[in-house]
Amino acid sequence: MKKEKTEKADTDTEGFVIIEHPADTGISLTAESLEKAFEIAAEGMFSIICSIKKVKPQKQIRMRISSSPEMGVEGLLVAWLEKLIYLHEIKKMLFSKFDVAIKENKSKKIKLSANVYGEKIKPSFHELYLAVKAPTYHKLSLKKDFANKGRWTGMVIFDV
Amino acid sequence: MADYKIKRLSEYKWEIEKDTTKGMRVPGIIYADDILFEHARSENTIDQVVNVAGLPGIINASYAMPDIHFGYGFPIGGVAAFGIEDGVISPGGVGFDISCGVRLLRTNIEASSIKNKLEDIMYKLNGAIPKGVGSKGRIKLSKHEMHKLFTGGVPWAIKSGYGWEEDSVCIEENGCMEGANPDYVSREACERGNDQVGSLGSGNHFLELQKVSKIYDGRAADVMGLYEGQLTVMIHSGSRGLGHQVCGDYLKVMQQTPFWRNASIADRQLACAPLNSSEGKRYFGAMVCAVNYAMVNRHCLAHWVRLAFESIFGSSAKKLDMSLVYDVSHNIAKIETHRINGADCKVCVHRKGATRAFGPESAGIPEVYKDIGQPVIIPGDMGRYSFIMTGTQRAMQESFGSTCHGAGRILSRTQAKKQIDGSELQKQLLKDKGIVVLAQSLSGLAEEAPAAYKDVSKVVEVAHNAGLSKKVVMLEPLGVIKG
Repeated sequence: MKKEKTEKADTDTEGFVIIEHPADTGISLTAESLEKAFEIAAEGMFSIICSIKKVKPQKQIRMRISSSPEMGVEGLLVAWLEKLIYLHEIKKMLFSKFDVAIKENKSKKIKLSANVYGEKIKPSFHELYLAVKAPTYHKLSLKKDFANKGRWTGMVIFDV
Repeated sequence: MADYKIKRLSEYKWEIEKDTTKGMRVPGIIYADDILFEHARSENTIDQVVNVAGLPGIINASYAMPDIHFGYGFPIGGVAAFGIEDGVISPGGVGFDISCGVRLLRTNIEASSIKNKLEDIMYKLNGAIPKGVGSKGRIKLSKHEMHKLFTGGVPWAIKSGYGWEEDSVCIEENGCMEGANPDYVSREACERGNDQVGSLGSGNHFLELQKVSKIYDGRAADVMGLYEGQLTVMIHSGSRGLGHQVCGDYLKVMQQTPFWRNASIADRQLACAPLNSSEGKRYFGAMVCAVNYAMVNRHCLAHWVRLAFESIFGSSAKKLDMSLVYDVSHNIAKIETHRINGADCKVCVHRKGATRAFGPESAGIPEVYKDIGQPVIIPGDMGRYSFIMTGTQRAMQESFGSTCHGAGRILSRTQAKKQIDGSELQKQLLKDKGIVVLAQSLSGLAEEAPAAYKDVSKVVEVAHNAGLSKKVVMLEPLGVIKG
């Protein structure tokens, strides 16, 4: 079961929590797989933007991004969230469901392909909270935590 | 917080002594009183001042203005200048909201005369101003027009029918910063920006009707055309999705260079490149496009406000003397000439949550303000006050012509939402202070509550007493539109 917007970080349960930042806001997350970590991060970000439970996964968009070895999975996570903000702004859509696949090729380039699902923004219905300007690299982390049953744990601070 | 050697240089100035073991190339200088300094220390913001002090080519010091608080990469309130030949430029030293800034319009309307129709006026203004999450402006620009905007700035907007001919004089860089190169702005950035010109955005962006409530410097207030009891309009917005994308694009570019791989800088948000490198030049060219976009954005918002006032008051905006007092950015990197060790030197000054505060007779400020110094606009919170100040010669000598930019938060957004009810706040501000607040989101409103911010007068007092900028007038909010 996913845990949303609780105040206490919980690394045993798959999901995200909103974390405190003096000026901005962020999420910490726990996931059973790398792909799931990306899906949960996206859910966390759209939970900052709107009431995500009200967003119907009516329309599907297919997307692909990649990240160089020096940017790593953390860089790919930022690129993924940036791409979702871009789609949100230019298509005037909110997203609530994310199916992510990630592959690494021989040259260590990491490729992400995803189907994202959502609908057009209806301001009065979706309870818009706050625009997320961007995910930042500040305190950014995403790693497999061998001390925690090999789960993926991470943190993203957003500029809002 | 790491163990730093901290020296108090004066009542309002602290030095974090240079410590090469922490990678510092220069000391840190923080302008604060005891309370503001303790706040910065408790948030670990001093670590961020120290991180900036380690960037290559930094000159004199890593500065923090009196509204210093914890950001990402640079601290908010951070100022750093870098040598043109050996220094760097950092997208994180400007921030995602490139050229986020503030604009003040005056009027010849007595604030007391609108008391009974304030609510009506606010609803009409609310209808005239695009705002909120995912909002778009009233203008949709083609790629060709976007490029014209990038290189032409506010003068282009004026030629296109928005605003008055004389407006550009009272905007930093006359509304058009030199060095824009549209080829360095990504397709994604253009797409995000092409329908957002003239929109407020969300978060801490706002439009306020205000009253001049106190005059501190009568001569400077006269020059700005400000007097007690006068109605003014303040607009706070930035470069919207376009600027956010430019920053993100170049943070990625800069982290993939040999320079960055060898730089050994802890925070990836401080990614940077030499100013004279291809990556540095490309970021600068794109950033200037975003700066010009932000200035046009505020200009178009002001245009809608003037049109709304014409409709509300049945008189032309010219007759209502809705002149622009000034428009200034507080997230920017600029090539400026400053006096260093007795010689005039060109440097790249980064201001992240800090305002240019050029003193009297400085180059680059409007002729009308040459005697008093450049107007500095310091927005406060929606329940108390904002301030207009002027730049000083002391700021030119001490802080690369920079001062504070606002209050700075004391409650995180989560804490604010937990403690404050947006709907109750709206009612309370109306009941207790007569302030009409219109917001797109009540939870967003709670996050921006007065209690979530420091008292801006304390910050302004420190900037004034430290000599970085001088108080001119206090403005109190009458009506607030939050994005």
